[in-house]
Order: sequence, then C-alpha cells, then structure tokens
Amino acid sequence: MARLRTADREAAEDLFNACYPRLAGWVRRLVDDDETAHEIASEAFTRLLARWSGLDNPQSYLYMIATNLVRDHWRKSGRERRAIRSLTAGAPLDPAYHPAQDVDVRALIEALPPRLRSAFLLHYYAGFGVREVAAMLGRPEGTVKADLHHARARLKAALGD
Amino acid sequence: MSDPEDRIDAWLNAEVEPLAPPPGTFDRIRHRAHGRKVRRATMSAAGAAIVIAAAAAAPGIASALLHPSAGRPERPAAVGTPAPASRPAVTGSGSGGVSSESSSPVPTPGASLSATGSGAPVPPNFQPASVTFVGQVGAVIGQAGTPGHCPIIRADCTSLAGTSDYGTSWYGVSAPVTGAPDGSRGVGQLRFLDTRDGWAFGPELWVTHDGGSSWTREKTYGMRVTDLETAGNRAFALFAKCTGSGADYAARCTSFSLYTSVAGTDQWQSVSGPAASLPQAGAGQAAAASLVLTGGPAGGQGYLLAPSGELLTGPLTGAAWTVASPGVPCPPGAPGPGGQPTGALLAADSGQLVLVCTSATSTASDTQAKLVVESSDGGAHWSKVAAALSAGIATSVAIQAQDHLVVLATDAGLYRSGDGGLTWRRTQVSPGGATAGETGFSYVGMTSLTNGVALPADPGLHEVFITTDGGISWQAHAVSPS
Repeated sequence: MARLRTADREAAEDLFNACYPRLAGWVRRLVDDDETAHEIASEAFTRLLARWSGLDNPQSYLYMIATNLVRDHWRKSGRERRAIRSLTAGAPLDPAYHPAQDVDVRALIEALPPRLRSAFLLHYYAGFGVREVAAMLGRPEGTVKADLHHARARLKAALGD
Repeated sequence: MSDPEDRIDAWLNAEVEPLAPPPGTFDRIRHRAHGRKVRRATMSAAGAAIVIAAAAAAPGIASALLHPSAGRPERPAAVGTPAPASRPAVTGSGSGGVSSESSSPVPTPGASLSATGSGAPVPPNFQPASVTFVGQVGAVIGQAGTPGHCPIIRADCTSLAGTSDYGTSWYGVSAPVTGAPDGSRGVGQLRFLDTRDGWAFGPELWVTHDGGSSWTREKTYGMRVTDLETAGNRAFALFAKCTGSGADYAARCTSFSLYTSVAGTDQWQSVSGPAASLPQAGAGQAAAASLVLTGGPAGGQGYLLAPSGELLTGPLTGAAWTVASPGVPCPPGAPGPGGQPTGALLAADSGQLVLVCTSATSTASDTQAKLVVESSDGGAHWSKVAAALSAGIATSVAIQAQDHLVVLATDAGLYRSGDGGLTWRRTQVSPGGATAGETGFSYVGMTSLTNGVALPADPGLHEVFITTDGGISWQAHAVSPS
C-alpha cells in the first residue's frame, strides 16, 4: 500500500495548512479547551486523509466529522458531570453547572436535540448552505430548514426566559 | 444585547480565533491516516472477494407474488423454488467509513443471528434505522461506514447487527447487498419472525431463512413494500405503487395491497377481501397505510389502517380480512420518511386498540395536539380517552393492554402512560441530561409487559434504548462505536 502520492500529499498539506487553524478554533469555541480542540481537529483530519481519494468536498467532510466528535465529547463530558454529581450527592452543586449560570448560547446549543444541533452547527456556525447540510446529514432540504427553524426558536425561547 | 436573537447572532458571528497546530501535527496525522488506510484496504479486499464468489454462486430469484385473480400481468402466479438454507453467503457492505483505530469494519460473510452471537464485529459508525426482536434476540438494520466509500456498493453501506441479550451487546450480521432507501431501491426496515426467518424491506423486499447469513431479493413487480409485520408463522406485507423519491420512498402511493407469506415458502399470496386493494384517501391526498399484528396464528389478529381511514381486520391464517370500521376517528396523514405513519398512530394488543390522533404540526413551537382514542371491540367503536400531552411531534406508539400501558415516542422524548393514555409522564432516559435526555425518538415498541425498545430519531447516536421496567426508564446501548 503506497503512502499518499506526492501530489496528494501536497494537496493534503495545503488543505491542512489552510483549514486546520480555523477548524481547531471553531471546535475550541464549542469545547472551550485547547487540548480537546486539537484532539478533535486532528482526528477529523486523520479520518479525512484516510479517505482522501474520492471525496468531493473535503471541507464539508471535515466539519461533519468534527461536529460528530464534538457531540461525542459533549456526551462524554455530560456523563462525567453526572457521575461527579452522583458521587457528591448532598453536597452543593458545582456552581459551573447551576442552571441560572449555565444559560449561554454554547450551553444551549449543546442542549439542543442532536437532530437540531448538527444542522444548526453546520449551517449557522460552519456556514454551509442548506442544500449542503442536507446532503451531509442525509436529510431532505425541507427537513433541514424545519430543523434550523426549530433550533433557533428553542434557543430564542431559552434565552428569553 | 438582551434580545435573544441578537445574542444568538452575536455568538454565531463572533470571529473564530484560529488555533495553530502544534509542531509535527500534520506528520502525526498523516502516519495515523496511513495506518488506517492500510487496514481498511486489506479488509475491503477480503470483503469484495467474498461477495464476488457469492454472486457467482447465487441462484436466480426464487419467489413470486401469488394473486388469486389470475391474469394480472404485473403479478404473475409463477412459483419459484425456495432458497436453500445452505446458499453461499452474500454479505452486506458494512465496511469502510470513519473507522476508529480499534475498529474492524469488515463485512462479515455468513454471520447470522443466534442466541450465542456471531463472533463478528459490528461495522463502525452503525446508524440503526429499524429494530426487531424475537425474545431476547434482536437485530437492527442501518447504514454504517461512510456513504460513498463502501467497498461493495460504493454509495451505501447497508449493515445489520444482532443482539442475544436484549440490546446490551451487539455483533455483526450479514446484510442484503443493497443501498439505503432511495426511491424504488434499497431497504431501511427489518423484521424477524424467529431467529431464522427475516425480511428486510422498504422499498425493496429481501428475505433470509438462516438468521441473516444469506439474503435473497424477492420480486415486487414494480411495487414498493411500505410496511411488513410478522406473527405466528407468517409475514404480512403492504405492497404499493409509489412515486416518492429518495428517503420518501413511501410517498405518493396508490394501489395498496396486503400480501402474506408463510415463513420459508417465499410465496406471497394476496389477502382476499378489501385488503387486496385498499380504499384510497380523498382526491388529492396521499396518506399512509399502516399494519399492526397481535398474537399468534391461533387467535391472532391483524389490523390495517387504510389511507382512507377505513380499518380492516382479519386472522393471521391467510384467510380474508374484513372491514372493522368504515372510518376511525382520525384519518392517516401523508407518510413521513421511511413510510412512517402520521396523523393517526395505531397500536394493538390482546383485542385492545389505541389510536393516537395528531394535529398538524406546529413547526414554530415544536408542539402538536394529540388525542388518544381506544377501542375494546376490534375497532368497531371508539371512545375518547384524553387529550394527550402537546409536547413534541409524535412518531410511534406502543401498548401493553394488560397493564394499561401506552408509550409514545416523540421528537421531544419518550412519554409513558400507565392508565391507558389518561395521564402522561416523560420517561427517564439514561444517560440523561443535556444530550440523551433531549433525544427525540423515531420508534418505540414493547415486546413484553416489562421489555421494550426505542430508536433515537438521530441514527448518528449509534444507539438503541432499552427498557426492562415497563417503560419507566430507558437505557442507551451503543450498537457500534462512532
């Protein structure tokens, strides 16, 4: 099995240089942790390079993978938070997770149902068009539009409380 | 900055500060990617060789639709030879995709459903779309890997996974060699009658007689199979002529007909009576038809809600079905993706029927008015139970008549009623909280008084949810790693 051919390697390196900093920064705003952001961005690029040939739109693939990895991270950290809470049952709650202080946009996005969250992040935050998001998520465009509408409505309602 | 819209926009539009990669990042990524590529290429080659061998040995399509009214050219009465159980395995395209370092995404030749497992791994990134259980043994069908990069059918990686401990752990099972539902092609739904006989459908129809080790495509003569259920020793399937495209393969359907096949025969016989040609919805409307079976061959009963709102019922013996009600209290709506019923969600158990009537969806508020009605006489008469909760958009309903249990799946979670639909409580979902607790669900089913299964609306969670306490609490179980 040959390694990436020279031309492919150069193209991959160009894409890496062009996209990695922004992707990692994009992830950092969602996970608020440089180390995790690097891990997720690196893993997304690893998966991209492992699939290098035949990808029509490497950038959308990158963001799709990163979105899934962020979701997994949120789930894992949510489980850890709950485990800590159960261990410290009876003790005062960690103020970082007190509902009254947890109402910021990122936390609300994290709390969106997965169906709405992926579409929201890819369209509004990563800047992909509705058609592109529909193709990435394998859903009809109309469904994606409705999901985006629901997501905004939920965020707006939560922020208005 | 106090306007919620402004706060959302401010967050979204804030400049993303680039995060420069640590030194050597690209080289590390390149080496890791290379290792994965080598492993995947090795496994893809092995999978392709197996399928080529199987394709060369596979006999022609063996079954045909049987229809009592002879002379209809689109439904010939020719009978083929049932497929031998020892046919070489034709495996699904479950490999490829966004495999993790430790995953082993190889299509598994001859892996079948069994009480002891197949020993084969589940392909990575398995996204369950449909689930079926026979006692503790169950199976899910879905897409795995990365669409467009599957070793056998490039576009789709239709895959199966099985469980022999009611969803706690999963193993790989061979899958039909076809894609995801796309117009007239592919499959997205799965039902097993026992641990040997199973059908994958929607819109194509595939059958196995060896627990999924080998699959044969059945002829449907230009029609699409929009629903299929199993009970006793039979499968019942709804065939329709549809023009819906993509995942909406069950949209714009006409000419619904109910067929049945005794397990192991691969001979589909039209169910005589009104079920042979269902009445349509009103002019200009395209509604779904849905099928529910209860009990076994002796005393078992089937119910079929026609697009017109007419309810048909009949035995599970293959004999004629009759009209139970000319019109249930609420008519079915247009089918959702995958043929999912809307407008009227029907469930039945031990002679008790429950219908959840839903209003048009309010997309702005993500709410939906719901009304629960019930019938204790096989659908002839209906009475209102209560107006159910408004939260969420209902997708599926399950009942256990003995315990007056009704479980409703919605896009806002699972809701349970222990009094036949009078009062409702949101169920506990674990892991709860910000993610799974807000998971919407596309399907719920109860397989006993205590046990049930639900599928998240987002297949990308790679999970099924299981209850063993009558729907009070639901636990997520991963089918495969991301």
